[in-house]
Amino acid sequence: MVGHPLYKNIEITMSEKNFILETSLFKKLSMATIIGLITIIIGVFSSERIWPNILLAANYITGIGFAGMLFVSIHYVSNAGWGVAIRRIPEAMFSAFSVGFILMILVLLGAHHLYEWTHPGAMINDPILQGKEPWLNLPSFIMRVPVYFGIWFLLGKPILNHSRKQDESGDLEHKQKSIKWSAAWLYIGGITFIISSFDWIMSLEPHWYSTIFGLYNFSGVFNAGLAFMIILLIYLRRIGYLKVLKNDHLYELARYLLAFTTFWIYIWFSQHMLIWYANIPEETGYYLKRHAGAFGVLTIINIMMNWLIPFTILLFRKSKRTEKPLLIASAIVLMGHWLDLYLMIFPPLIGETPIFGLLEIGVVIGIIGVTLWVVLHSLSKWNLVPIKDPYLDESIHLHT
Amino acid sequence: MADHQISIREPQIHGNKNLNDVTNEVCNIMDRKPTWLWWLGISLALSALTLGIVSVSYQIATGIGTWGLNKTVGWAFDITNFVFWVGIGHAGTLISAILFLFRQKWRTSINRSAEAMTIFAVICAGLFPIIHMGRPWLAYWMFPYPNFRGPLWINFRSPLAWDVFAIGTYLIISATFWYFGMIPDLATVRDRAKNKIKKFFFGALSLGWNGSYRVWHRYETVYALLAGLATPLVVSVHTVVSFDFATSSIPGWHTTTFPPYFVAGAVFSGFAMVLTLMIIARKTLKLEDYITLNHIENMTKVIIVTGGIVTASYATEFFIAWYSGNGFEQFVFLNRALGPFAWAYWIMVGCNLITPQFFWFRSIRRNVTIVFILSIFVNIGMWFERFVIIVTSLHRDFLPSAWSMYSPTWVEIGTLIGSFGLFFTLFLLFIRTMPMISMGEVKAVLHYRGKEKE
Amino acid sequence: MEKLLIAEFQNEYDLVDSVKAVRAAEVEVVDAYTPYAVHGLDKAMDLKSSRLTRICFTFGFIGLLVGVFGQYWVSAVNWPINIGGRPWNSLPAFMPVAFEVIILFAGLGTVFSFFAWRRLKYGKPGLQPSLRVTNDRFYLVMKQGQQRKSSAPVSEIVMAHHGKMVEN
Repeated sequence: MVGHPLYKNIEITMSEKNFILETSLFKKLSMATIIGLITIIIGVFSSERIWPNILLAANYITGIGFAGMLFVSIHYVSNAGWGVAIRRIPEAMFSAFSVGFILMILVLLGAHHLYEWTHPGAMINDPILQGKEPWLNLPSFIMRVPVYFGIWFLLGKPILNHSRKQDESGDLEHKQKSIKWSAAWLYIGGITFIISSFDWIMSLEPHWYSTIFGLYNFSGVFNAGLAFMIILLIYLRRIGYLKVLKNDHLYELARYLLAFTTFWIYIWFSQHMLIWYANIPEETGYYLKRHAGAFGVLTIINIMMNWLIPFTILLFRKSKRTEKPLLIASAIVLMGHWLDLYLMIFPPLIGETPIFGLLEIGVVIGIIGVTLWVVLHSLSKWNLVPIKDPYLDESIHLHT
Repeated sequence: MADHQISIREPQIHGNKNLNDVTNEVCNIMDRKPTWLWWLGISLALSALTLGIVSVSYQIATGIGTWGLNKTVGWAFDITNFVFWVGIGHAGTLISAILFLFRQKWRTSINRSAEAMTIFAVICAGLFPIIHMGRPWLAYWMFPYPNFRGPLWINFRSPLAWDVFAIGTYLIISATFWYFGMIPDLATVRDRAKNKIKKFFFGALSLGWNGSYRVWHRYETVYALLAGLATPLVVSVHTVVSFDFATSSIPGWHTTTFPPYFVAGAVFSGFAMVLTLMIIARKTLKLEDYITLNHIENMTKVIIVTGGIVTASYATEFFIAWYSGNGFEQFVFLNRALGPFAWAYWIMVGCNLITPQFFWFRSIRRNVTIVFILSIFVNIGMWFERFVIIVTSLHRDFLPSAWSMYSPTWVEIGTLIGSFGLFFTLFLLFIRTMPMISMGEVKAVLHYRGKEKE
Repeated sequence: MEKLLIAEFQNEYDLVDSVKAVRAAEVEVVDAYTPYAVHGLDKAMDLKSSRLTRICFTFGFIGLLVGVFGQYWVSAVNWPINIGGRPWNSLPAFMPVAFEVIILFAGLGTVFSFFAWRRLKYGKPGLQPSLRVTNDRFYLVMKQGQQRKSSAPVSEIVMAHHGKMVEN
């Protein structure tokens, strides 16, 4: 293989170390995961508020997995070459799905605490909810959870497998097949994600509906995924891995992040403006809850964290190529996505005042720990760089 | 980066050309005498335009009563055409700006004509609201300027006023982007021009461009900035058009997903129109080396993606209409699929949902004839989409005694044909007078290394 | 006036390489003339990145102020009218127009700044080494200054990169 024009870069990438999850880091991450677990166990027996927290964690972590796969498949479908060198990181993010699945099953156990429509009493006096019963009923709701995850898993796994097999054989056929699986992933995976958002989050307020809601959640998820990738890449480079990573790669990712934070505010504005303008009682209730009092302040902070601050930072060419502003913007986006989900999930469940207590802190620590743990663990199992991808050379010599 | 591009990527431009070949072949389109096909095309286009002028003149002289509108269906054909043309106008700037930002190099052979197409389509679109005013000579009332009527300002809370700004800005910025991108090519034409008139004309237009790299460097920055500005702009334009409907409380119009759904639909129809035009141009002007099968394939892929988003939007709308538990909402959607305008609905579904699915097959994507036919189906489907959204949501409103039907009169159909006439007239004049392929950008992707052929 | 040296090349790679070589020999590069924007030449010539980005931002910001406050003044101060019960200051409804004004200001402002700065204006004839600049030739314009003693004369460097010197 060495010497073939397609693999003239093989020496460069052979020197690339494979990632090893060091014991000290492993210990820290498992500590964080255990803190999260303990919080959940204590919460289940002591507070109703744990359920929205678990739902948030499930959505957040599933989102990371979804965004990683989304990035990989967009990259394949558009026949792009620049990101090949860093592709293993979004590929590793796929493993977050499994954690999301477990948490979602936990959510099902507490569905009565979250979803008003699971109570027969609420249904009886409410003709509108009765009309929705064919969709919003517990058996089919439970059934749909494994269906969504099954689709994501079955369509996503072949993409990863082909990528890994190509490391061994270098066969071009793997790329062709990945492109096909990626198209299927984008099409079917995208639609299932939108429906799952309707299911898991929108039905928290079963009278309210918004056709853009799935896309709104989607835009936030992709932002968070990109930010997660940027932070992880910079971290890996700082501790001595991934020498092929150049600032040009970060620049491209930062451009994506800039574009998608703008997309997020676009979708946010579309939903908000149309509901505000038409002023129909069925719809405005959603925003009345979120614009009054302390939640109103959080709404403004949400816009700043998910759009205004990262947008302003990333607008400048220089900050898209420099580690520090990139880290700041990405960290703000990651926290902002948590707040975004908080504002989607919590207001109908906890009354008029937002709470950020020990339960939330514990679960957040758990989210960070477990996500990093599964992603880094999965990263350590394979070559850190897809060494025989035909576009690798193009990616290593990316020059923007 | 060129050094590291791998042989599995096909070259953007076929035919192993050198830089001089590109200049000659692109400029020859303008230099040689028009073919009989061109004369045929322009005479058809001018006849259509004449019909349009007659229709519009008759309508303005007589009144909006010449249209098929009634009290229930107050918006129909005219607004359908408006939205249709604005949609067509989306592909040009999308190809130029978004594909530029995403470094899709294949855009270089088609961006110039796509941008021209955008401008012409937006001109066509802009005419419809103006003639709908009934008194188009007062169209300047749409602009906010100090006046002696109060000063009575325009209503900035009205989506129709937003349209004026969105379409106006879009026309100005697209035209600027188009002209700005053309300056180096105009200089090329100037430098090889033989006759004096041409030399003077292109000399004036090219603003003294001399190829200095210091200027090129700044020029590239401005081009990138314009692309960065045009990207959100192109999204905002169809968003604002969708607000015309979505800010109302009419079932079938008021739905929060309209902005992205309209934008995806616009890109979908715009790319279909680019395909239609580019396949004709490729064939008649013998541009097979520039507009290769890869270009066509890439465009069909964009159609699959946007078609997918459009499909997902139809499905979401239907699902949420049922899920909402709102009887009026549910009725509108059932009425679309099963009511008196069901034929229009199923044409829309057939053209927009089924047509793109053929493009999953590589053999079809690379078959120019089939792609051409399918692209026309998408155009038809997207016209009907707007018709369905506008007319079926209105014709059976909350009050059954007010229900009515709508059918267009000859004046409305004549106006639509006239807009096509205007569009093709402008486009045919464009390919005769301006370099229709961006030479400067095509040369940059040639990676020409060879020695002189001489 | 110092004499300008002009070299002609047939492709971009030779041009970029010889720019690097000539600069290494401490010959001043005045300008290059190319038929298209050559990738990487800006780094070779060590051109600073443009200030036009900041101009674009400034114009956009002015557009934002004009758009938002203009609409506010018109709708809430100068002649407030109750339309459909919307508040006088209908900020969400002002956003679309404000956005369009931002883009219009930023776009036109940038382009006209560029024209003014680079003195591109209607009908000015192009000054260029050869008419083939806009077709298929690359030119490098240098100034003969204090060349480093140890290095070869300019013409030899140019020749080594497949170029040829052109009479001025």
